[in-house]
Amino acid sequence: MQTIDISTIYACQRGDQEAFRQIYEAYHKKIYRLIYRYCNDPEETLDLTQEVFIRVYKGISNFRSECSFETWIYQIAINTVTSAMRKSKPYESLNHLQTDKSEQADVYLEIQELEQHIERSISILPESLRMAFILTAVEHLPYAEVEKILGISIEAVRMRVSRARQLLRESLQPYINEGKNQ
Amino acid sequence: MKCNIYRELISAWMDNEISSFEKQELQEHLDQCSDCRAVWKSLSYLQEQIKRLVDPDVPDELWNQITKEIEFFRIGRGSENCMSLKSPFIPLSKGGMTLPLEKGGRGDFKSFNANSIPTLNSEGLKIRKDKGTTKLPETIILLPTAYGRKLLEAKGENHVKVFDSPARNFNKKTG
Repeated sequence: MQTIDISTIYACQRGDQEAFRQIYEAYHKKIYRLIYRYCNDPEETLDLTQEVFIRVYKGISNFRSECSFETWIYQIAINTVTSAMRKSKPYESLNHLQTDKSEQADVYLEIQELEQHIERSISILPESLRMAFILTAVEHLPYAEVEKILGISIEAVRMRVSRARQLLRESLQPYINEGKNQ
Repeated sequence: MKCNIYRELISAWMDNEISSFEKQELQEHLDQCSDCRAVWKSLSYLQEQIKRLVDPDVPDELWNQITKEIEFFRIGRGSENCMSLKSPFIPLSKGGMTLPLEKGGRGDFKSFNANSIPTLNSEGLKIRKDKGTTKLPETIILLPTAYGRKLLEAKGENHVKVFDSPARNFNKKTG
């Protein structure tokens, strides 16, 4: 990933289009992946990633280095995504996967299918846990950074990620019996 | 400690967010507790599978769509003395009529002169408002906001719509 120095940010704040392009190049894959993991819908992901970068462009003059630029851009992405998804997506239960599996208990699951189940299960984790889980367990951000991005304590980050893992383990239990898919 | 506390430690361990003291405690517990050992195994397997998830491909059109959007924003940047308009409807004034952009057609307009230029800025679609203007514009160009453009695109229409502005009501509304 390209790194963005402060001079690029200043240039973008002055309206430099090339600087904005550099910021886009540095972050668009991360932001797209984050949103995709959150909603598991390519079309929605495209729209929301677009919205995030438009907000970055419009709001960059307000960036004051009070946090890292990455933290700031993640905050914009999370605000954009969570508010959009709250409006559009009804709650779904993780339990459906267990039901599906019981109906086809003897079917061997290819790794690709397992991935799809994992992606789907992550995307329907309770909203309060989902982003903390994606940022840590999927994006591998340190808890201290997630603390800043989400504005919650490290203890809360740890608790949410653990809770998300337990829920995923329960919902995917039939698929993650050790050795079954190895 | 109870097992649920150790399970939180298992999770933190997987993220490398555990102290050496906690790690030692956890290891001692795992030696004794088969339930937590089973949890550790399944979570480890789950984490391995998560690491293997394939990154989604970013569609090529993303950058073009973003630049198209910010171009509208740049056009309207710095515009003063504007009346804010929300997409996809255009409020004419407080308590005035609204014109649904996606339907096109006729509408009533207030306080815009012939040089009025609709602009898009951070608050949405704006049309320059010139105080005291009573001159009737021949045409007004309306630029839909992002949402408005989506509606128009869905209908296969252009981004920019030109509407004839009706003579009637104009002077009455501006008076």
